[in-house]
Amino acid sequence: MSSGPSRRQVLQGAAGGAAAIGLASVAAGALDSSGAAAVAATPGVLDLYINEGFAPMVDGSLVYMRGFGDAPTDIGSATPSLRARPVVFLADGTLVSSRSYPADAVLPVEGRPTPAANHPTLVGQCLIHREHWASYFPDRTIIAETGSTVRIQVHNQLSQSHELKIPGVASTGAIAPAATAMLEFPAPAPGTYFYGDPGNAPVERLLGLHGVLVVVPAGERWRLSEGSVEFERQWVWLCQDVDPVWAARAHAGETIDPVRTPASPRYFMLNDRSGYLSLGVADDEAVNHATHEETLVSGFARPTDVRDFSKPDGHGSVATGQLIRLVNAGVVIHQMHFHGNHVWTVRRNGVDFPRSAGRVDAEGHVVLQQWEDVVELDPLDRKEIVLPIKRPPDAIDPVWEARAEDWHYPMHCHAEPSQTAAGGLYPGGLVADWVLAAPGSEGSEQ
Amino acid sequence: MSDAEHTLYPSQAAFASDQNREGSPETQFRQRPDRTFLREFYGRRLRFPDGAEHEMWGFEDDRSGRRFPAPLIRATEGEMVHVHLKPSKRSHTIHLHGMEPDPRNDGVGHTSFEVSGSYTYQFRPDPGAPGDVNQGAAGTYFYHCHVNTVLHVQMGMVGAMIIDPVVHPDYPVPAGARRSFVDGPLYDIATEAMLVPYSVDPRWHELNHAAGLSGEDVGLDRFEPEHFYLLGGALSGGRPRGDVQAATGYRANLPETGYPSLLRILNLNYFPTRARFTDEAGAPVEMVELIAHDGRAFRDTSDPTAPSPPVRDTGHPLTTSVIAFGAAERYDMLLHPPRAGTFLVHVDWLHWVTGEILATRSLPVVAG
Repeated sequence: MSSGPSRRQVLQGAAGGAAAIGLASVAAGALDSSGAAAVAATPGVLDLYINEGFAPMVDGSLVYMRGFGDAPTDIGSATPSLRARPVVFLADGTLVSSRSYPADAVLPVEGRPTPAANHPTLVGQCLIHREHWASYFPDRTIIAETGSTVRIQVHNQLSQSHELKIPGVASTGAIAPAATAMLEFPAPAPGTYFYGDPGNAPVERLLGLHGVLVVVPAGERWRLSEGSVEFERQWVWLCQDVDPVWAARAHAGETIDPVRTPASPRYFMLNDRSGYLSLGVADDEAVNHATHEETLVSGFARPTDVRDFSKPDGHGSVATGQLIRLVNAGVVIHQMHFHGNHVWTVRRNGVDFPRSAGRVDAEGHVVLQQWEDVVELDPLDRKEIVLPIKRPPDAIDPVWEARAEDWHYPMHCHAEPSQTAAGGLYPGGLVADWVLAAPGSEGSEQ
Repeated sequence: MSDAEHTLYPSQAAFASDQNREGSPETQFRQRPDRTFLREFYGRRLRFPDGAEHEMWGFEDDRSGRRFPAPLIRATEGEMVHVHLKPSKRSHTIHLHGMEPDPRNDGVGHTSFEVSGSYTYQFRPDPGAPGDVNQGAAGTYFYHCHVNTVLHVQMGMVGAMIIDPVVHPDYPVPAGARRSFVDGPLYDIATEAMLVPYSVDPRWHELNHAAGLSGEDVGLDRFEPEHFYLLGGALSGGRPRGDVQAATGYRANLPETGYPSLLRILNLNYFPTRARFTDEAGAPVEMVELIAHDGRAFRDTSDPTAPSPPVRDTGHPLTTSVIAFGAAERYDMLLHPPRAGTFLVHVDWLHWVTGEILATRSLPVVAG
């Protein structure tokens, strides 16, 4: 194996590479079906448009939604802009449009990092590349390096007031219909943040006005924060619930009272996809391709040590897995269950769990870094976990040693009604797979 | 990559109604088992402790009878374990939740196969070592059918599973005692027990095996439980009686009586639950020490080059009077009653959207 990019990776890089935001993005969103024009882009400023439109669910039905798009569209649009493509605010002051980060790192084909070498002693295991692979991010992700200034211009296209708020960080305040607000703030501490419209909570958030801000330490781009968890690559998993009854009422101009008529979600999504779309088994290769890159965690087996994710192995590699940033934009308590490997939970809502002297909080949750096979994710919670991508510990030796194909394991929410769509269609809800790659399947690097 | 290996589907209905099915697939590299469990499908109306009868589907073995929950699977780390599934007429699987074998033995249709004839699931729980946070499978688990899971689990195709630790010479185990993980504290076998909240939405129990899979709206997004049960009870209580193994109360040793009592909790609901320990007047009592979660011990991992002792051995036990545990979560806990007498454990069922308390059930914990 070599550590250089393959031809396939280079081609992939061209497609996923960064582009400075400027005229190109203006042209892309220049005209919507109503003829409204996007504003001229200001260098270093992200323009978000609060739009409405109809979005397809996994069963093909269309549901009214609102969202922070990256071009102005109106409700009649066949392709409404309800979520913005990922962008990166760099420490040097530039803003780039990019599905991947870091821009100078190697893009993993189908999202799967390949190893640096076979492990010298452990059968079927590998040594991973350190600080080598870029990560792909889903729509709605805003990445900011520490030291950068986040500048977002929010244009309210709708007939009600809206807001973009990052709780604990910054807010536009109410933006009147047809008005624009400028939000500018220094990138906060490294971590995972929710952004959304807090109006009539949780109504506007559930209608689609939400996203994720990821702040990365500029000098340590493969760590959760300075000196903290190191990872091979990282993922954002945004959990979303959709209530089509609320949506229809909002479309009709009703004001929804979330206490009198609580949400009753009928669709459950991970990174805006459900069921077969989220599992990458649709007959649409472009969707499957994006799902693999953004959502379906994948890698080669490696030894890990949760005491120290930067533990050197003497071969230039480290004993770590992949970081997943879990964010719940929905209204139900999700229970993220991983088959195949337990995960190591390191942080909740921006506060690192301790490694010693833990406690049980007033709600009855344990505050300590720990293994879990079910990670509770309350509405608006953010948790960072490490999936070790290690040999499944209870597989027997001869099966492991004869392994010749990818091993697929589900991740699904164990609050099982979330596994449905429109009242059935199991498994049609908040589900994903993760893949333990077969030895020898490293592809063109071989 | 995976796309090439998988059938691609034009719609969710096509995918949901076309999970991989096999008759009687082979158990690859079949080994001689140390433990074998038979799990056959049954369907039957069962009478619950509140007098209600519900149509239930479950697993039975050749001695258990048709009861709920399904019989306990109990094995020791390092043992070769076989679970032989006979699903009867329809397709089912057994997913050994928290056990991490290869996909063929993981019991999920879309990553391996559903079984219509029979299949023997094979796995070997990972042996633990003292101070090692990266190894060891001892703890509390459960198993369930993973076909149309949202329905089949609610219908009762579920049972508890316990993995006992290997015995290490530095952590001997005297008669009458056991450890829940290799270097865990000794506990009293005679009072070991389980607390398993479960609830029933009667509407769901009228549905058929494949309800919803073809795209029909059968309302499986709406779980509206009307009956609330605390299952489990003492694990050494002898042969269970009645249709449903409901807990009636717990015993908790005092230090002068013997080793502490161990309680294993498992949420079989789809909604979050909360267990609260109080005195008879309802005042919270910090009598619980959490020692493990989801089959893994709570350890101090602050020294990256030294062993990771259980947190209780570092002067920081995880003591509490309240435990929040959502769907499928498990906790192992020691009970430390402050004095002789009767205490109470209350379980609150919370709505997954509103957080409203849907029901509370309470049981006595008798300390002596």
